Amino acid sequence: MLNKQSFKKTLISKLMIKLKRFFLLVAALLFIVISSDVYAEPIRVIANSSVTLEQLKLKDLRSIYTMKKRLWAEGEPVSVFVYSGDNAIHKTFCRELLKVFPRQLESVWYRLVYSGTGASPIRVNSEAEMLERVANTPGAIGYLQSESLNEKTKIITIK
Amino acid sequence: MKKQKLLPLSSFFILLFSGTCFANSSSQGDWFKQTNWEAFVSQSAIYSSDYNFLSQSDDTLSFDMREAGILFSTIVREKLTFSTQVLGRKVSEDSGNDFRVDYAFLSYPFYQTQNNTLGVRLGRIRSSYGFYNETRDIPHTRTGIVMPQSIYFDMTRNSFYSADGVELYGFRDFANRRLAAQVYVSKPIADDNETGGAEFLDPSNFDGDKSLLAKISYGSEFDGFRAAFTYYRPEYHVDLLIPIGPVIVSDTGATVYSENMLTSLEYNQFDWSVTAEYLRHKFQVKSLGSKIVAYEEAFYIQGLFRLNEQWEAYLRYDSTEPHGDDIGEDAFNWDDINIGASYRPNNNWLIRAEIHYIEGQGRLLSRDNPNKNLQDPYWTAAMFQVAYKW
Repeated sequence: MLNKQSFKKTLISKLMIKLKRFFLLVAALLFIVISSDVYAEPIRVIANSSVTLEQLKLKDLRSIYTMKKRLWAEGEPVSVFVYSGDNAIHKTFCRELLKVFPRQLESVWYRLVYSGTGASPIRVNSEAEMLERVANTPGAIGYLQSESLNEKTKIITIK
Repeated sequence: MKKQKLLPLSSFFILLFSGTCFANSSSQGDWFKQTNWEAFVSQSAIYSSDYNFLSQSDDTLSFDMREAGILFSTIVREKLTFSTQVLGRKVSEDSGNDFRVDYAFLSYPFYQTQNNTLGVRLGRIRSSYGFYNETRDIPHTRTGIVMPQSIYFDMTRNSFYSADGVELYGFRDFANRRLAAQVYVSKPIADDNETGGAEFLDPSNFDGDKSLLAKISYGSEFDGFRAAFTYYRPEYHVDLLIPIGPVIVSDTGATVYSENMLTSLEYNQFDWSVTAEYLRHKFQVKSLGSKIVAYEEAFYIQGLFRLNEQWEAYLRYDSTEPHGDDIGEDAFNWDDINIGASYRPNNNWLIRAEIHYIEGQGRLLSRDNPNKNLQDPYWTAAMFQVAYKW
């Protein structure tokens, strides 16, 4: 009888230890996942220093990236830059900032370009190229994940 | 006949394209800006329990349906845009390869402010009928392997949607909503192969006369509602041989028109969309002083679910109900419930599968189904498609 009881106790304590280890492992994994999400660099919208605006409403940013807003308030043409294809920054930008899937944006651009009623954005392949093209194009707007800026570019706050 | 019609536009396209290539090597910055080109190919496999549906698929697995296209667009001297698409499309063994300049036009916005644009388009224009006609040819920009046949006919696709003409367009932007209007006057490009539905009248010399499209739309493609109304009326000439008792009378002055009023509504959220389009369609043939008139009401309602960046699922009900005493109504019925899924492993590849449960024969190609009225009206089709774009 005693033996049975002590066997039960041992079994329960072993199970508890295993459960504790399991929960610790899950907690560690969750921490890694959550912390990687929390500390991922946010996307920053940047513009050429010729753009006088300091902030944009989300609906205006959407309007720019669906190529509807073609001129800044001063009449300067808006030059829109995006990363090409499967770029991870572009995916995050679409999902987190614009709240659309990249393929939805692409469909909008297709219709504008091939109906002759608009243009598609200019595509770049890297953050360095994005920074360089935005810096050297008056009226340009783009986005970065890194913090690098130069004297010809500025950050636009999204409200 | 068709090749002759296409020749001037094709030549124009080639000349301009050559000019662009030349400019690429010399002074592209001055003349040509934002030159875009895209290309795509697709191959489909179709099995249907009865009938040949866009392929020779009756009770067999058919690989007849395939598409390939090259799209090109460039902005000439700041504002003038040239756009074209050359499309090769095969939708059945009998139809052969349908290779054509699908559209080629110039577009010029002659008045432009921050929120307003007025412009003109000239040439062979992809008509902006409904929400999806302009992007229907590229597998990556449509929902499903086939478009909802009640509204976006494949049966008379070439004659119905292609036309040479001039369009005035204008739009006003309100944040991320757009109010747009357009009026398009043109001459339809008729395709003799698509008169099979009236083969008992032995039609020949099918030719476009004139067409009018007027459209107004408002809303946003991915943020809440959008709505559109399209009026479209293409007219044609055709020669007919009409059996009157034992005598066959030739009429070289018959006219045909198709009048369409299409109302389109869509509601979009981040990960789902619901689309519905409703068409009132009148079709009239006038020959030897008498008229044959047919009416139909057609609509589809579709739910699209964006599960994640790779996967989409869709469910659609697509229906056509004919009215009128002059035609056999049963032959034009069409009810199609279809369910499908898309997988995009990356920006280039697209894989799709869908199943259709169909009642009726109204949107089947007559040339592929000469005895379609004699078969079971209840049938199914399973489809699989792989597409790649550059």
